[in-house]
Amino acid sequence: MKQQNVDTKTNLPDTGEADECLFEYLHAEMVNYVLSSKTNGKEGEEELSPLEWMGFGVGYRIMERLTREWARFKDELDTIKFICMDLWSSLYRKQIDNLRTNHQGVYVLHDNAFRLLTNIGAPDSTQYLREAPRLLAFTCGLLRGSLANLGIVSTVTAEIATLPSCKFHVQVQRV
Amino acid sequence: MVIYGVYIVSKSGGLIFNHDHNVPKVETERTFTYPLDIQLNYENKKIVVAFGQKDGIKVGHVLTSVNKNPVNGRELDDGRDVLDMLSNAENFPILLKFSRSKMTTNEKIFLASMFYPLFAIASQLSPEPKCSGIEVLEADTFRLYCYQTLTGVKFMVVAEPTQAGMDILLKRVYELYADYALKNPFYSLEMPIRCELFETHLQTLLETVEKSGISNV
Amino acid sequence: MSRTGARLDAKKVNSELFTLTYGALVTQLLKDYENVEDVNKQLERMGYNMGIRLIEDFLARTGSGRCYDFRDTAEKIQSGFKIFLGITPTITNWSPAGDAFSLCFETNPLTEFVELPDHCLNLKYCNILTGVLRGACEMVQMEVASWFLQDQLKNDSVTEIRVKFVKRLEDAIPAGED
Repeated sequence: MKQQNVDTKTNLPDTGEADECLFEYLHAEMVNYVLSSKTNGKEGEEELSPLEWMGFGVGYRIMERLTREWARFKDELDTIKFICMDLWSSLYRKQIDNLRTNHQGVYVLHDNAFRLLTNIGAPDSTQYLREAPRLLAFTCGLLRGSLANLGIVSTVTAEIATLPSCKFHVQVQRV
Repeated sequence: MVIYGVYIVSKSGGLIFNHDHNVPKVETERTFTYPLDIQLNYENKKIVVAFGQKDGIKVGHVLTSVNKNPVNGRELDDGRDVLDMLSNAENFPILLKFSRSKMTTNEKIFLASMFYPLFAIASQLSPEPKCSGIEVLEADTFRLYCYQTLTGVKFMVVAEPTQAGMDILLKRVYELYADYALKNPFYSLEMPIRCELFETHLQTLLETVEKSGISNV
Repeated sequence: MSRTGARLDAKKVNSELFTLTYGALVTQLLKDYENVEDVNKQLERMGYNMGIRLIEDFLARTGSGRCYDFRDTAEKIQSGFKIFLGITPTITNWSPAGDAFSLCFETNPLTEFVELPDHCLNLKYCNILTGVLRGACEMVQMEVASWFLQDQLKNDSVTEIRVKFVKRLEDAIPAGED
């Protein structure tokens, strides 16, 4: 029994999944809220840390509940694999497409069609490249939070080269 | 089977999206000798055929190039005035290209705002209450189908009169709008839709309908 | 890379994601605003923004027709909750004039893990719902007001939202519908 949603590349609307779009609307509102709050709106970098922080909380908590009946992870890589396959496919409808690591604490998670980007980015589109990082801050935090709960302290950054794909860089902090 | 274009008009009556899908191009190019036997007029920043229709060049067609050089307004790229050139025998024989003029975005916005009251009038003509307004508008060369959502957004398709299933197509366009415009956090309501993803999906939808009919979407 | 043991239930995880995300948002708002009333307002505002988009999704998917009766509206709202949140509230307590009703929730995914701390007793945790209702109805040219009568977070046995018809927004009604 594998809970893996096949990425539907058809043009049909995802009729059975209406409830899932609620998260997307909510997320969009959160992004708007953070951007419009008083610390933002001035020139310079967009202040996305509240989004990251909210994501952290969600990731931390969701992990707590998910791993209750799960066998202990063998090692760091095993944990990351769990996130790429199981967590990702339940949260974002598909698995991470490609995972790379230098075996020294750097992991690059590559998603070819990230859920929060699929409604804005046509393949090879550059239209929203500048604004798109706003949509990833929450997920960066979510990744960091879920890892933190499993005892891995890390920093997570995101990178977008072409929509709707993106890469998450996880840098594990060794103590 | 041809679909000419899709238009979306917001609830306040502004054109927020238009897409030319399959507009047949009509172009005629040939060499003319002095004196020119076609009357040209300069109007609306275009040089237009006013009289002397012949050989596929029709009244209303626009002069688009002279000796392969494109015409901008009444000038060529190098700044020469086209009408002056054409009145001078030294420049002949000359190669002129005429084509059917395309609607500019401004003209489309203007037409969309005219359709809005027309729709309102139509909805009042019926002696029965709750008339839907214009659903189909028929002419010899096209049919316009209009679907107004409960929220007041109008979706319109202009197609060949024989094209079937356009009412279903309009509902599918509405779904695309809900999915790729409204779920796009960067799109603000009532604003022109400039979402590439919406456009690509629309393009695919229209092509599928043209190729294999409405039952396949 | 296969792993034995139970796989995750995607539907459940997804709904938890939504619940927890909403919780994180409320927490962030409580941090940003000193006044709980302002949090309630902000939640309502965000709900409104969601509602005005959500309604098109609802109409495009369901193809439902216009309501000419508030009872119709009540049923549409009920099915909206079913589609988007996966819960079916009961419609009760109709006012004699038929212009107000209550939506009662036995369970509410938004509050699944929530317990209100003492200093937030005035917090309307689910106030986003009233915003969604206002936004969605306004888009189909109907002004409604809604508020919480009972809240399970405040030790009531059910959560009850009162929805009241205010007026039809005649100016906004598209041609052919008046």
